[in-house]
Amino acid sequence: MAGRSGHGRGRLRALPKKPSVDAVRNEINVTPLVDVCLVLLIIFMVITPMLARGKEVPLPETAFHADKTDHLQPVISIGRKSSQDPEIKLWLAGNSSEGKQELFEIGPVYMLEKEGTAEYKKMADQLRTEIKRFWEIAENVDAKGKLFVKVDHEVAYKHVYPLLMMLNADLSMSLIELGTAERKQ
Amino acid sequence: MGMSTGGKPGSVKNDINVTPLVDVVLVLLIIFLVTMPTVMRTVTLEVPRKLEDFEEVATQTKPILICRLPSSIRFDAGTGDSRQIDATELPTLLEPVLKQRVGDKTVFIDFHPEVPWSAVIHTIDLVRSLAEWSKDPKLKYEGIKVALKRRDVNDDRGSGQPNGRDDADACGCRDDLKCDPEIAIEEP
Repeated sequence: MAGRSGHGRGRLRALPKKPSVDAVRNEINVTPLVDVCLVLLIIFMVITPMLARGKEVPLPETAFHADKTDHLQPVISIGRKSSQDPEIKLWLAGNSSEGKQELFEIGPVYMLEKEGTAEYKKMADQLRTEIKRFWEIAENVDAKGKLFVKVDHEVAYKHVYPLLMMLNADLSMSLIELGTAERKQ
Repeated sequence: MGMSTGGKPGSVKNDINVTPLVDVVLVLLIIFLVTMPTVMRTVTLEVPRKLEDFEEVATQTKPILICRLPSSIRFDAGTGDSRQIDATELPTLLEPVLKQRVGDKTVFIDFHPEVPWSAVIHTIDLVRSLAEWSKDPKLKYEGIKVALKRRDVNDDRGSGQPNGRDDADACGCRDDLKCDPEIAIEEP
């Protein structure tokens, strides 16, 4: 063993005498590759949670939608917490002044279905104040006065109609943008 | 800059190796280019418009009304008479009507309470598919406006005349199931 290692050392020492071997290292330099991969990883880690805007719900598919850029307007989602959950709920998400996303569960949608009741008033008030707050702190001018509404494709129309009416009456919104997903042919 | 020590050529290079920096910056640039304009796919719904407003804006033409029922569509081509059609027939029936219209190409829609949201969006998508003939790219998909028909508050419990000529009831969708008698809806 000792003899073999001594022999090996001797061979290594002999190598620098050849200038061609010294000039070119016979390894791939992985440092830039690792740099790039790490940066990619960090960027994706940071961006992925930012991309999901609002509570995720399965959206209906369309072929003739408009592709609009995200103005970071508040997002209302209507859907179920999980597929087994019988209760249809409403979420509101918006960007705070630090650019972080805030997501609230406003409550079950049936509260909006009985206009004039205390439940309706509570929910409508909360929704209105929060949306107005998001519009106020929005850095993007295009976000003000805009909303993005995402509704689970299985939810019946009667659960969405009260919200649309409320937005029209309380926030005098006349154009509402409804979120859809691209239909895959 | 002036730091060159003038050492033996080939021993130690005294410049910063910018290649990894450029690599990283380029990758960053590409990623931001790809992700920054996060696209939101939207269909815009005008909510809600009163039929009276429509008549003020446009001429004396009657509004086009589409009422989506659980299995069919009640369609009024602006004549005041509505008839029940299949959802697949809608584009062929609606297209000539829309092409004839000058000015306000607004289509009013209303839905049966039990219609799932996917059918709501599908109806809007069907109407929008007709805007494709528009040459103006700006008008594409937006050329035809889709507006939700406003229901009257006291109308919610159903005046119950499916063929009523009253505008508020032209769709006949107020009263649950009355306008679609052959379909029984299961309560979830």
